[in-house]
Amino acid sequence: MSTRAAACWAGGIRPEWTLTVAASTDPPPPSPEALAALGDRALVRICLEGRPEAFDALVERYQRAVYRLCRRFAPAHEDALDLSQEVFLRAFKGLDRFRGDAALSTWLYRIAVNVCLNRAAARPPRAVPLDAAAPLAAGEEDAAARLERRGRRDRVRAAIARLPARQRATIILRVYHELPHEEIAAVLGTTVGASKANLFHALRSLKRRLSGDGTEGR
Amino acid sequence: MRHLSPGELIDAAEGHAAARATAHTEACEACRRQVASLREALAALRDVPDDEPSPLAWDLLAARIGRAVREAGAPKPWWAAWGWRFAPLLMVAVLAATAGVGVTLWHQRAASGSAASAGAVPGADEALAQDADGDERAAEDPSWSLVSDLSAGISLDDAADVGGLPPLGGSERALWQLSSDERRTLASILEAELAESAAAAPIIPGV
Repeated sequence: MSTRAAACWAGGIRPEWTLTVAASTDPPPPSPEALAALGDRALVRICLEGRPEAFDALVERYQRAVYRLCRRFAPAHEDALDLSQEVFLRAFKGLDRFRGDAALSTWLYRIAVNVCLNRAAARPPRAVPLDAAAPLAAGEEDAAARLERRGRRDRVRAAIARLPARQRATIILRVYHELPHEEIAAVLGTTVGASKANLFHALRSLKRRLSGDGTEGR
Repeated sequence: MRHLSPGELIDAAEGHAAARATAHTEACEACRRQVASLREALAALRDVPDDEPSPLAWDLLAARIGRAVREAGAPKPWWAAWGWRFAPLLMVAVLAATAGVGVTLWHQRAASGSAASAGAVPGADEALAQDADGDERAAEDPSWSLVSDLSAGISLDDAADVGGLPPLGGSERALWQLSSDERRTLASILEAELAESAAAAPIIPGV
C-alpha cells in the first residue's frame, strides 16, 4: 500500500481505487497449419501449456512411423492400431518427461519398442490367416504372386517374432526403419557396438530359420 | 590373423567397412563368406514389404488417438501421478515423522523440566544422549515399520513408469538418520528458537 493510501485509511477516508480493465492480450490458438509448421519441441511446450491440438500435430507427424514400427511387431493391422494408440497415449501422459536431449522421434521409438515388447511378452505371437491383410487381386497370376509374397512375408514375420527382444527390436529399427546404429543404441539404451552385435546375431538366426523357404539365396 | 568382429562384419555387410576390414576380407575367405551371408539375409528381409494400410487409415488413427488423448485429460507432472498413487504411503510417512519429532521434543522438555526442578540447567548433550541410538530406535519404531512394509510391495518398474523414483519421504528419513553432532546442532537451534519466542511472547496478550 502506498504512503498516500495508508494515510487515507488512517484518516478514515477510503482512497480512490482505479480499476483498469485491459483487453485480453492472449494470442488466438494457432491454426493446425501453423502448428504443423512448428518444431517438435515447440509443439511439446504448447501441449504442456494445455493445448492438446499441438499433440494432434505431433500425431500427424509421427503416426505413420509409429504405426509401421508397431506393425512389424504386431501380427495384425488391428493390433498395430491398438499399439500405436497406446504409444501416443503414453507419450502424451509422460510429455513433461521428454527432456529434449534426444529427438522426439527417438523418444517415441523408445516408448513404441517398450510397448510392443511388453505386449509381445504378455501375448505370444499368433498365427495370422493369409487372407487377413487385404483382398486378393483380380487376376489369377497376380493372386498367386501375391499369395507367394504374403506367405514369404508371414514366414519372415514369424521368424523375427521368435528372436530375443533386443535382437528383434534392432533388426526392425535397422532394416525397416533404417535408423543409424547410434539412434538404435539411444532407443534401446545400449551401445553402438551392442547394436551391431545384436544385428549380427539376429541376421544369423534368421538365416538359419528361413533357410529352405525361398526367402534367401537369391 | 584376427578375424573381423561382429560389428566389423555388419559394417562390411552394410557397405561401410573400415580400410582394415576391407583389406582383411580380401585376404580372408571365411570373413568374406560371412559378409556375403549377412548381405543375403539383409536383402531377403528388405524384400519383405511393409503392410501399408489404406490411406484413410491415417485419418482414422489420428482421430482415435485424439479422442483417447482428450479423454485422458491434460498431461500431468510426473510427481502428481506419482503422488496420487502413493498418497496413503506419503501420509503415513508424514505422520510417522511428525510423531517422531513430537516425541523427541517432548523428551527434551521433560528432561529440561526435571533438571530445572533440581536446580540444574540441562545441556543439549544430556538431552540428546538418549537419542544416540536413534537409528536403532527408528528401526524398531512401529510406524516406520508400517511405512517399510507398505513400500515393500511397490514395484520399482511401476515407480519408474510414472517418471522415476523420487526420494520418498526423503526429508523425514533424513531426520531419523542425523548424526549425533547434527542432532546436537538441531537441538541447539530449536532451544534458541524456543527461548527467543518465550522471551518475545507477552504474558498478557494484547499488552
